[in-house]
Amino acid sequence: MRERRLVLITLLLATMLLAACAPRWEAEIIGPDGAAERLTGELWKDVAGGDDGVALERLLWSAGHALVESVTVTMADGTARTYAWSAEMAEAQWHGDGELAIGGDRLTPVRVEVTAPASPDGVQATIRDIAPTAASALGLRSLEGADGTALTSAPATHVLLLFLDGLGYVRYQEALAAGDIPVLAALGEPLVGLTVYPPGTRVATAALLTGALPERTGVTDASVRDTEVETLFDVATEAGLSVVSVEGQSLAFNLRSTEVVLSGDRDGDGSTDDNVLANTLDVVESGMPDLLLVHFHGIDDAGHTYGPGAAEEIETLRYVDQAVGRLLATLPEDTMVIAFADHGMHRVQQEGRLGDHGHLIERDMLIPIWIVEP
Amino acid sequence: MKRWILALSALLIVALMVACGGAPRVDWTLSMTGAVDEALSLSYKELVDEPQAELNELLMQRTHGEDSVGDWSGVALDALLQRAGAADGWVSITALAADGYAIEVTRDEVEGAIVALKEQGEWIAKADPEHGPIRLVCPLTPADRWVFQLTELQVNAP
Repeated sequence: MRERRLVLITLLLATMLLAACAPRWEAEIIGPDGAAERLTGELWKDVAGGDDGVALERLLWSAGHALVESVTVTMADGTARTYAWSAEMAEAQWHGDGELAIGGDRLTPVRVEVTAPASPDGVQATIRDIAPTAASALGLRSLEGADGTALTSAPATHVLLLFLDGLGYVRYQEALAAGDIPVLAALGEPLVGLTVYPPGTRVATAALLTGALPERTGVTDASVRDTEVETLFDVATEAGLSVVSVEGQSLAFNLRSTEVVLSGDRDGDGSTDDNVLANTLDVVESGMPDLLLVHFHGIDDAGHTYGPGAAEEIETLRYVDQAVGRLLATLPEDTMVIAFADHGMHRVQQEGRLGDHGHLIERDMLIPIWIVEP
Repeated sequence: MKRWILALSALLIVALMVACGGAPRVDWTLSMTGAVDEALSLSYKELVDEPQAELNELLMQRTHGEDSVGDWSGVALDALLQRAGAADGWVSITALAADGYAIEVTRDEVEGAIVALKEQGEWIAKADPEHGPIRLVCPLTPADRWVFQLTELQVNAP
């Protein structure tokens, strides 16, 4: 009897201790539709895993925000502070004690609101629409995990997925105005597309091939390089179609259900784009596959090294544009071309790095998507 | 009688310790294909039995996470290329991994590389199976070329 009481008291004490240790605070993040997303210490723990802080951006993305101009943080006493997002995006962190570190301040918010930029054209498509579009064109069944939708119902015998790494929509507009990309300009006005957060090649490629959000693919950051969610390539292969991927030096994402042609910098000229072009021309000449992915990496590489808009990056843009022209000239007529970027790029001032991406800003998140029907 | 039992137990313990320190049994095969006279197919055990080369105090530059310095040992890539009879003018090697990853590394980039079986004196297969059991370690390049779960090395001619 006495032992039982002791056990009960111990259990009670342990429960009280656990309850005391759990972070007890609550705030709300207002979503783009005005609905409040509740954030509590418990929910924060789920997102943080073992980390000390969670990037405010990750919480904003979870609440439905894809583009941020500024955030307004309101405290319990009603005072509020507004921060320009471009200045805070890399550093703003929400900690387990409920405090938000932003702009050198340490605040205890009860509410966070977002002002989105006024995108002149509005978002017309997402990177998750590309796989459903290609599947529809080739007469394939729907992808199991996809929540994107086909952007056209036009059929095609072949589909070319033309992957222009790092060419964000904003940069595309600048290059178009400067006359640097006549071939891409001739494709017509692209759709204003939205990529996924965090905007980076691995996360975006998973979304591109599955038509699903990162939360579903499991590829939520650059440390994960494959997904178990069904891909466009899986479905095409299952239907007996031929699938070939011409990549650069390495796979940015582990591809399956495809023949892979790697294009290392064998001539040592510092770029793989010429190797990608040569390998692609070989592939097309030996018989255009039903589904062909071609990944040019140079714009992203030059953007990171020299910064978007730098002379070397413009030179790369021009080269890729011409390479695309040579490739398009060889395609069979019944080919649908879906050209797109995975993310954009903004300028930074870091050692050995003048361009980067990964934030909820237009330069990183908006991408051009061209659909050229046969 | 008791002494016998004690001696036998000690012997068993020593045998167990030796067994634990030896190479683990791993079902793994590394192939070398492409521009070679004779394609190779080496089991993990065969790689363990090859002469082992060391790369000590090697800087590991990571794309994600912090850089580190470590000691690696395994089979010299040059020895494998020689044994397979790689074409004189080979230009690059495509390394394939069991998880689907692939990378083409140029001849310059794989200079001095090893197919590592141990990291910090520990069998990678035991200490860090996710990044093993064998890993291409290229001392002249960042770690994104250090392919783990390595299954095949394709030698590319020009």
